[in-house]
Amino acid sequence: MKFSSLVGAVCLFFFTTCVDRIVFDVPSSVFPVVVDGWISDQPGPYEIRLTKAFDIESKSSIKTPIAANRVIISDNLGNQEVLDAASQGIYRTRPDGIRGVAGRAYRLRVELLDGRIYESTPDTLRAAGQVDEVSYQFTSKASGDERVYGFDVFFDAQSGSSKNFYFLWRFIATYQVDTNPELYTQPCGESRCPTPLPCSGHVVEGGSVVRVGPCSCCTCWVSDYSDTPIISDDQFIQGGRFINVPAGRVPLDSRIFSNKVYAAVEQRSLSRPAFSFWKAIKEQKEAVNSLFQPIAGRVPTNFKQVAGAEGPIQGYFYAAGISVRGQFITREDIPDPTLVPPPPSDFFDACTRFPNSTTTKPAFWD
Amino acid sequence: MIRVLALWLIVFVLTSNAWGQSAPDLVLRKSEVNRSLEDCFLALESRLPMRFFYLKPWIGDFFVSAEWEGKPLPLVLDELFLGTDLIYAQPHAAAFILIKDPTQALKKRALLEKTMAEQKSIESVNLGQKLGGRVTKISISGVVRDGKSNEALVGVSVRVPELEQNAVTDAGGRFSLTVPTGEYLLILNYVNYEEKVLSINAYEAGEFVVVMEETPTVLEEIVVQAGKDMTGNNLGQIQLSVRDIKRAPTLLGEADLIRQIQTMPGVTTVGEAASGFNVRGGSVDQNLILYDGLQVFNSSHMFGFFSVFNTEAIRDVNFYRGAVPAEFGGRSSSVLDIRSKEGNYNNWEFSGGIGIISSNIMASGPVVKNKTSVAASIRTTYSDWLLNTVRSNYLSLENSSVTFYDGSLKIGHIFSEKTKLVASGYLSHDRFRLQGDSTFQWDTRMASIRLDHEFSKKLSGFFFAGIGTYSYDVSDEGVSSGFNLRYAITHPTFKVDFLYQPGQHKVSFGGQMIDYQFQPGELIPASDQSIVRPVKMDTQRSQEWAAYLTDDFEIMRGLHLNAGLRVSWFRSMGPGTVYTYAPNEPRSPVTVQDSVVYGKGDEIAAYWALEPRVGLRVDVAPGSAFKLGFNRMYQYLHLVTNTTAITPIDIWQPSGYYFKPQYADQLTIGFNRAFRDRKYEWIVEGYYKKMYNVLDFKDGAQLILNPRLETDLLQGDGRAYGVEFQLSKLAGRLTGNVSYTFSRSFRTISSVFPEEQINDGKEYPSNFDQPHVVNLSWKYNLSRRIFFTGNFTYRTGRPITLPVTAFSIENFTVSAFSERNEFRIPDYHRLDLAMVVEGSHKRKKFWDGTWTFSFYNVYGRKNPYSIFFKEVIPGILRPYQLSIIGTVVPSISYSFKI
Repeated sequence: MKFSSLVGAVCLFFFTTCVDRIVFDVPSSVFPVVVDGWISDQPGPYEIRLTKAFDIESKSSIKTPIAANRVIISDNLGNQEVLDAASQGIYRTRPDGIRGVAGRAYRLRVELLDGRIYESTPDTLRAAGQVDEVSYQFTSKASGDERVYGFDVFFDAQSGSSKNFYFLWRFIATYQVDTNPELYTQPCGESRCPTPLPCSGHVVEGGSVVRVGPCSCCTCWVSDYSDTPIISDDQFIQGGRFINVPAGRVPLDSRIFSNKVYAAVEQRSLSRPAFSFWKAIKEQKEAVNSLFQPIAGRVPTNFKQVAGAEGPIQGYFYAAGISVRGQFITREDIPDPTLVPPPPSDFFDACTRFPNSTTTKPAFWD
Repeated sequence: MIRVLALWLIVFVLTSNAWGQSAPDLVLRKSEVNRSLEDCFLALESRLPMRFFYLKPWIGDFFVSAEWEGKPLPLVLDELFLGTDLIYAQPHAAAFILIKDPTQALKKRALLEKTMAEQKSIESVNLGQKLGGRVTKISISGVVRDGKSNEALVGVSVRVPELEQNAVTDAGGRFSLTVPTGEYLLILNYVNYEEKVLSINAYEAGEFVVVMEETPTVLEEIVVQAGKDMTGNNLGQIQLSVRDIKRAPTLLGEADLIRQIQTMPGVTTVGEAASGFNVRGGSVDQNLILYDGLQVFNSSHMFGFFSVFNTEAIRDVNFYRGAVPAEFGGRSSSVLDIRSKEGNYNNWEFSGGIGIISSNIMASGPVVKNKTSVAASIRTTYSDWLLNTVRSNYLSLENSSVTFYDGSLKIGHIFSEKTKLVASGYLSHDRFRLQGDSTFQWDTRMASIRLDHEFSKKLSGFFFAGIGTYSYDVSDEGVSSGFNLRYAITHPTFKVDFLYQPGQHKVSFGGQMIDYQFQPGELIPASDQSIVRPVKMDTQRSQEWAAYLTDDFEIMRGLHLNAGLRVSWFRSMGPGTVYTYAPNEPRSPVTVQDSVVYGKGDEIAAYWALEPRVGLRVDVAPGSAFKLGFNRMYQYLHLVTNTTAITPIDIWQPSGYYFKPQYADQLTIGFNRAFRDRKYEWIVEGYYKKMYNVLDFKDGAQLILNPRLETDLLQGDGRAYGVEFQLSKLAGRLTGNVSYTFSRSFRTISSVFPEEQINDGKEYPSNFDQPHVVNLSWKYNLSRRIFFTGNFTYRTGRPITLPVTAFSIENFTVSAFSERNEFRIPDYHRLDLAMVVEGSHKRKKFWDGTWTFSFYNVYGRKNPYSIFFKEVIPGILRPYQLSIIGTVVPSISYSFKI
């Protein structure tokens, strides 16, 4: 139901311009500190990122890190750990440091350099439950006049307790990419000249590309996350289990299916307030670009300011039990290999150009 | 003139003295009553040391009845001389002087001269003969009927200027006045009808019929603007003039009733061309819109651009926003009662209009002369043709469709003077489709039958049965995404009203039953290839019963009370499924624990309520009245929407297990004053309204095809208050009015669960909170046939919730929204102008034609219709303003009558 085009037609009916950008005067003081981080029952280290919220008029979503005096995670038994500063605005626990335990409540204290101190309300870690199975199905969908192909991934899960209602799932598709950085070219005159990236271990000598060392960016494993968080919904509950919950889609892309894809689902068991936080994010993601868009509301926070000059804060520090399960989708699963689009002939790049990528082979890959 | 002033001065001085006297000794004794006034004076002179000065012929007719025993003489004289040209003065304790006051005679003569100058006929009514008998009080009553349809006219203002008495006709078209025997002028005013002046010789109690004629569109009297009498009984009641609606500037030549409503004090709208209207801080669903007695659930064509009511077919419109009579119920803010025209019982008439996007035609005439009449109207658009003619790079509009039509049929049959039957039908259809997109269709269909019967002079009955259906259908023909979504409400309605008039009281009583059947939605894949999952929501059924009793009477002279009580009862019935949720958890799809299935007819929930309605009017001076009103109104149906205006695909949710009925208590206080011979009037009304169980939605609520709406909707309280000022100029070349309203409207949604709160449970401005509203409308008569009309509207921008910043959490970039309704959209203002050229004003002619040239939004203000947010960078929402009408829209229309 595309109301926008519908109303667009009405506008045309009156031969007049309809849509204009409108800028409201928002006081700069409302730009809050953003705390991004959580603790789980899996081994650390856990990471807390402190940034400043950005103006909606900004041209990109570049995060401005904020430094802190101290960042402390503590539990209701009196255990606590002061996080180490890994880089500007990023704070980590020690690998052997604090670890979440089901039944305990965790809180985060952030002490900024300007004297402001924020504390989260304690969030109790709940047992993770379990992802039982990940499955997939090859499907085609209409996209304009064309058909696009891919794998729809589903999962079955259980809560582990009749009192656990609130779950967040994240879908992660991991695939291997060979970037061939040695074939990188740049314009020179009217043609393009070979310019292998330094990390490729290749150089140009005498007009030829020659290998001089190991390549540190030739092969990487890229993780694509679902665009929208998946949260528990009763329509998939059967007999106390979540059955056939859509997790995401892996498009039939030549780069993704150059080898195989690991489709994984991570289940996080949440407290009710943490669930509300993720629900707000999900709803906003789904509501955008609709003319008759429901009013999206505030994304809740569980931080309260305890000291310093008054200043707003965003983010939610929560504790979650984790369960992960994955499944490989290979080229053999594609019913008709000719449906895979040909690889792009003019693209060569390095792993560094892929967000959420690593050159370290994941443990589950082989 | 000087003589008149001098006489006034003398009378004033003398009467001032008279009012200053206390007269404990002047209490009449038994020996001084039950005799002529002259004998009474003589008896008093013998008992007390005082003299009466008078001429015998002046008081020959007056008789002091036995009932005056023990009453003070001044009171007796006041009553006896009421309506006569006699007054008295008491310059000192020992003297009473009777004076012939020429002002009454002058007033009467002035009224007569004015009426004659306006070329209006004055009809004579004789009730008894002047036999030189006693001056006593008698009751005169009348029935006011339409000259063509013979239909009783409700709400006609009846005025006796000499006595400063007013009355309003009731549901049976009756009025009653208690007057001293004598000769008076009776002036009757009714919106859309020609003023009627009667010269009445009232010497015996009696009843007579007054026939009023509808004002011909082309016959415009320059001096008097009828139907603006503000001394009616009801506080906050407005009768709308269909003629004025037709003459107001239009959008694309379409005279629009709803747009006219939106210019009334206390009425706002959330945006340009938005469907519906908001009354005194209430939401759009809190307005009961009745068309010939049946509810209208969507009053708009083309998503709110035009109203579904063809003004050619409308006879009268009553809008109640204050003390709503107990007869009406089911909505908590206002009532818009629209009645369509009945056919002409004597002659055939044809009328119609041609506009830029639509045309209409109406035929009305006798099937059997003076017995059976028929009126039929139809309006249809050629916007479809226009749309397909437009060539644009923006969208391919070929094969697109924007169509609407509406039509009505009314058949009346007079069985006898006392019995009449009227059957009416109405339908409205909209279709909106863009190539490759969804098709929206919505329909309203209504049919009813009404029997009016007069059992006796004192008792009349009105019996009504009708059925209405509102439905919409959204379909998509895409191969893989094809679907069909259907929704429907059917509401058979039965109503019976009685009017009983024993003496001074006007007692109305009756009851009604509405049997609502909801089909909340069904989603059907359009083909086997469609990936759409079929969804069928359970049907819902509920019944609304009500009984009411109202008494309208004058407690004492100048003090008028209208008190009523409505008892309503609502049942939500099976079949249905009610979900139960985990205790100590907010209602959420994931906290569902069980469900209870109800069989057909099983009671799921029931509510009943008492709805008191009280209106008090105190006439403090001629043309000036103080009014006070209180009403409680219950609403059992809720519009479920997360937009601020009504859209065709919104759903109506009956009260039930989780949704309590909403209700509002409103206290209204007002004062109005007419001055300069009623050429000017000003009104001020203030109100305070408290609303309970109003609905609001959770952030990101999913409302369509949601079987557990209780998980996405919240109920809370609201309050609104305001003061409305209006100054009107009713006569002269330039007429019009200016109004200013200051009002606020708030909501509070609180809960023990943060998830079920809005703004942390704090009070916040409602979507309809527009503190400052200014409306100006005017009409300037260039000549008797040509005049200019215009209106200007200003409103504070309505509240809005905005994305103010953005941030990233775990690679999800999201926008941080302000508190609910923390910001406001830009203010709304608009100027419209029109020129109306009417045909000749000869009464007898074959063809009457009127041209209307309109300029809507003269200075091209881009008023926002909607503020929406575009995701320009993933997760970052920026506000955009949609202006439906961003430029001046000229139009021309032609209407005719044969």
